[in-house]
Amino acid sequence: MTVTSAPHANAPQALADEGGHGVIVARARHAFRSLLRNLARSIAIFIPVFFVATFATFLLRALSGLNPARIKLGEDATPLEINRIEASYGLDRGFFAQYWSWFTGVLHGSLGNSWANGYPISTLIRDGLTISLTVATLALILGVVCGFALGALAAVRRTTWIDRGITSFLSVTSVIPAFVIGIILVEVVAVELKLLPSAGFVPFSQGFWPWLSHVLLPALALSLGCMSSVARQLRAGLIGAYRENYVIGAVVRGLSPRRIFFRHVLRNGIGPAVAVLGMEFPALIGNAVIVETIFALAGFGQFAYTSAQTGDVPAVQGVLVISIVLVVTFNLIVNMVLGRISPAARRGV
Amino acid sequence: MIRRVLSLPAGRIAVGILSVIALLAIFGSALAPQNPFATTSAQLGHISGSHWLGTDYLGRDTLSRLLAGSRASIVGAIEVALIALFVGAIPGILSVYLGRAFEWVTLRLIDTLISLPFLLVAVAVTALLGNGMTVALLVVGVLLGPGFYRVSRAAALSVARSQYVEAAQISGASLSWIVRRHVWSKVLPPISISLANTVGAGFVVVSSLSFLGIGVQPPAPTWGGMLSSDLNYLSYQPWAPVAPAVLIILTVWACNLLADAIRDVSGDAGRAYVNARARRPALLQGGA
Amino acid sequence: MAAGAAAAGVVLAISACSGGGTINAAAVSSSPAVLKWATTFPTSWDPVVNGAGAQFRPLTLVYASLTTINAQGDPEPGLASSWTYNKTGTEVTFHIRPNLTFSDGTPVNAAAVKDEIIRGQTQQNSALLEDLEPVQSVTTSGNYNVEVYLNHPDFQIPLVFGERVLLIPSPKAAADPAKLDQFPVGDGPFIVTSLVPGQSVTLKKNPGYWDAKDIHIQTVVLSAAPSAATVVAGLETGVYNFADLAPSEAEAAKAAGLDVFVQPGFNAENISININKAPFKGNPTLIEALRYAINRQQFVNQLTFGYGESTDEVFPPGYIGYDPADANLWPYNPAKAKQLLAQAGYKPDQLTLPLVIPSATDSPEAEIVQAQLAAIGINVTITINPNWATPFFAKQLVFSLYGTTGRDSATETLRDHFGPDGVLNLSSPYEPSGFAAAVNTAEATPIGSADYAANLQAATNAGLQSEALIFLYVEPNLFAKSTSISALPGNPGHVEFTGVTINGQ
Repeated sequence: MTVTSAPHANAPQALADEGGHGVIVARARHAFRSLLRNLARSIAIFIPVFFVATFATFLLRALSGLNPARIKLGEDATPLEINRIEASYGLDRGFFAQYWSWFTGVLHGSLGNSWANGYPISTLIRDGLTISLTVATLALILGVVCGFALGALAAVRRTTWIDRGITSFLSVTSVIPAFVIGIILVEVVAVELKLLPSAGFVPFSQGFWPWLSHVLLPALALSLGCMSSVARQLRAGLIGAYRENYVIGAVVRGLSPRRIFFRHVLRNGIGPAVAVLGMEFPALIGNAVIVETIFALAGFGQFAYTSAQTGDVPAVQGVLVISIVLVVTFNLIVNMVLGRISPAARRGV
Repeated sequence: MIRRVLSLPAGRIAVGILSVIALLAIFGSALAPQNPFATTSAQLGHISGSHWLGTDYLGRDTLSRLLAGSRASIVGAIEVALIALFVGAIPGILSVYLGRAFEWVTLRLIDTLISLPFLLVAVAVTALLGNGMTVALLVVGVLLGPGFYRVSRAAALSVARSQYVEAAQISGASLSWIVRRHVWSKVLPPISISLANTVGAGFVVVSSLSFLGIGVQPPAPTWGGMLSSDLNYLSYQPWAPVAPAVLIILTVWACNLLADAIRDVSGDAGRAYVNARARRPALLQGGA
Repeated sequence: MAAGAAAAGVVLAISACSGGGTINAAAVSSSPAVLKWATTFPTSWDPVVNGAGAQFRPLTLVYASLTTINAQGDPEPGLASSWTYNKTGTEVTFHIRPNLTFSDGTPVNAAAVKDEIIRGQTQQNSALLEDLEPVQSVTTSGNYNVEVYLNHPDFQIPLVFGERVLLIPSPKAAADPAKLDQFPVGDGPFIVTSLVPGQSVTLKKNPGYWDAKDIHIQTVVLSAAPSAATVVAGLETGVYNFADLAPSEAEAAKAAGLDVFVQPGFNAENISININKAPFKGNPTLIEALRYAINRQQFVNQLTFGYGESTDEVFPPGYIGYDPADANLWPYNPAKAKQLLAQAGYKPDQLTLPLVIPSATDSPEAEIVQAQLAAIGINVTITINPNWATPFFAKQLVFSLYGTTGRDSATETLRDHFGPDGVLNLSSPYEPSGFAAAVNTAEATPIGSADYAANLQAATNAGLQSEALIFLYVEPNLFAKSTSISALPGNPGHVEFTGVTINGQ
């Protein structure tokens, strides 16, 4: 039995059902190769971004006019003293010489030493990064799970009061800045209701509940923006997918609504929602600065803030490099996931 | 277009709220019932007849401080949006005329900018370059520029290669007429949508930065700064953060609402939508 | 999407598990006698660089000093079991307890003490110059006797060689002061097991401490103090069980069922003026205008939440060094202040002064100063700079706020504020005339003798003539602690854990 006017999204599936072993192997190899191509394309975009961004962050030092002498000796330091300290940090070389040695150091994983206390910056960042990534990942999970649930629910029940309610809720949550949410959570949940602690970080090794109770509020504060973006994009994408011809075809063929949703509509409508994740992740890292201040987490964002305030330029440069790497890596993953689940997106439709 | 936006209830709400906020920005200090800088002995006072929102930790009237601080926040957000417009629109328009190499370079720069975590970069760069509000606004404006790149590039593309412009030129129409009749109506809506969204985003970033103490010059009040100091006295005034928080949320919400309203009424679909609404019987117009 | 979720889950698990990097989590969670203290970290873990300011407190966990004090403020044995003065007070010998070692194995002996004193006097970035000024030379005799020769008769030395000035690090570790800052080694009540600068420090009990039998706490974890609003919540939920507390949070702490420990001490807040810089240079009338413009009561009312009182001296009222005759030297008089400003040659709103503060927590105090000076026509611009300490101690600021927690030795406090090399004297090398003689006399008077109080107050009187300092108010340090921690000894200016038990252990 041939499949008449098989919907293009379903074509690989249908052919595989039809064709037999050889076709399946060919399909798998094709998928793998396209995955590699996708990866290569993403990396190709990543490289110039990395170069430009690292160059710009290095340019910061020259623009800022800060030097370690100022931190150690104050503003009236004599030029002689400044020169001496700068020489000890290798800052008396030409701009490009410094850039090159810093850049090659970065490629080897060394981010230099802090001007404030001489510690290697990678050590200082590493501990904070662990905390921040924990909170950010939890926030991402919360945002994705809740966002998907709400977006899907609103799309499936579109134009009913459920949909309207969810949409209004989303339009409010999408505009509340993360720090306002954080303050509300601190005040309501931690101070008034005393349900969860409002500060500090407890590592997982000290117990699941202590760990969870400390990261839950900051993760919640971070997740709301992500959740509303994902929900709105999913809702729009699903509603668009529902309007496609093949859905009518599927209904005519007698498929259950559940199967229509999970096998057809979701795969095609999910693209924008996953794509928007790529843009939400930088927002998560950015908002971490504020959320960590409110919840007293000694994380990456907090480190960035104090380094910037004290004028510790290498630390700030290190922070920026790490965040670029994080965001680009995350985008790579998102692109790959997008390519896998949404063939249409992979083809650039 | 403004008329069309106002025909939607969402549009009316948004414009209404934003007009009030704009008035606050312009006349804020004059409207303040008391001197926002005058310290009194009534520290952390409760809501009373002379202090509608109570007093802060130095006895200053909270309502007056909110009103006085409105200008800094709002003007800051508008400046950010304008800077972003400038930074994004120029490469966007130029990329249509300067060829693929230029376009490739600008696209890479745009990619870089969107991959930078916003607030982190703003905090880092601002602190290193002087911690002042001007630097902060500049940095945030540059970071928000990409939002205008795509929009202005699309607008420039549609204008540069559209046939009706060619036709108008052949038939001898003057440049200003062409711009007014064809280009403006095509370009204005998407740019205004981006502008409204960017003002909202810029407002959030400006408040976040002043919450962190960047660009704040005591004793000048800012909404974000007031929220930050309210945190220290929560046990005495648990309701204190409500006022600045609500103001911030309302403003951003109104900006986004305005952007949505403009989107709903622009383009051919938008015009049809508005006309259909106008023809619908009054009974059905509620809750649309 | 499943792959994405799985990846996220793996990242989450890994990052959560490895989050125990700096804290020896297993030991902490199973051992109940853990002190979790939220506090500010010192500028440096090298006692010579950190100096005698309040940030020395975490250092007292790691290092021991020659002497300590009791609740009355009298000197008690520390690393030194006793000391003897010669008749004229120009020479004092300290007898060090035998058979002690630093945590790196180096013996605690007279040579280590002598090295530390010399290091305090000669190290380039030493903050202890003025405190060690009376010491002319140091010799050792035998393994455990340190002979200190003084420039002039000075009976304060046992108090001076306490926690603030003479915390003794291991000489082997102190040979590289930069390394010492990254990993302090001493013979104090605790030993550092890990240190992440500015974030957390873990310490374990030192069985080799001279008073180890009175230390019942096994582990200490120091964390950076969170914002004031979250301290109480952090204590309630067990993130910390001991924390530095802002007075604005005292009510909330009590309401939450926590103990508020008011540390007795000699705190005094001041405005420091640099008379070597414009506009104060050569313009004493301007300084006088500032004096009359200050309303101390506003500071007390709005900053101390019932825990403070005003003072115009470097000591709190009631302290032995407080000179009752000097009370209210410059009463609040804005009209007179405006007059003096005009006499100093400035029209209203013509003068702008820059005020640098280290963080937003100091903003309320700075804003009060700003408001009070604005009332007489001087504009003040406030800048927040986390590196404030560097220009302050380098005497580069035009004027600044400062708060001292005092010193064990009253004359040390006077010297630090008014002496030509005083670390808290923003106007170095300025010294009010008659001060040197008066403080020498006070130091030459044995503590407890009949003239002591009078001579001390005379020295205070001489110091207060300084144009470089305006004192504002006193406010004790507050700490909030969980009720599971027993009471701390009330030794003025000290935070000690001798005899403190957690959960009765």
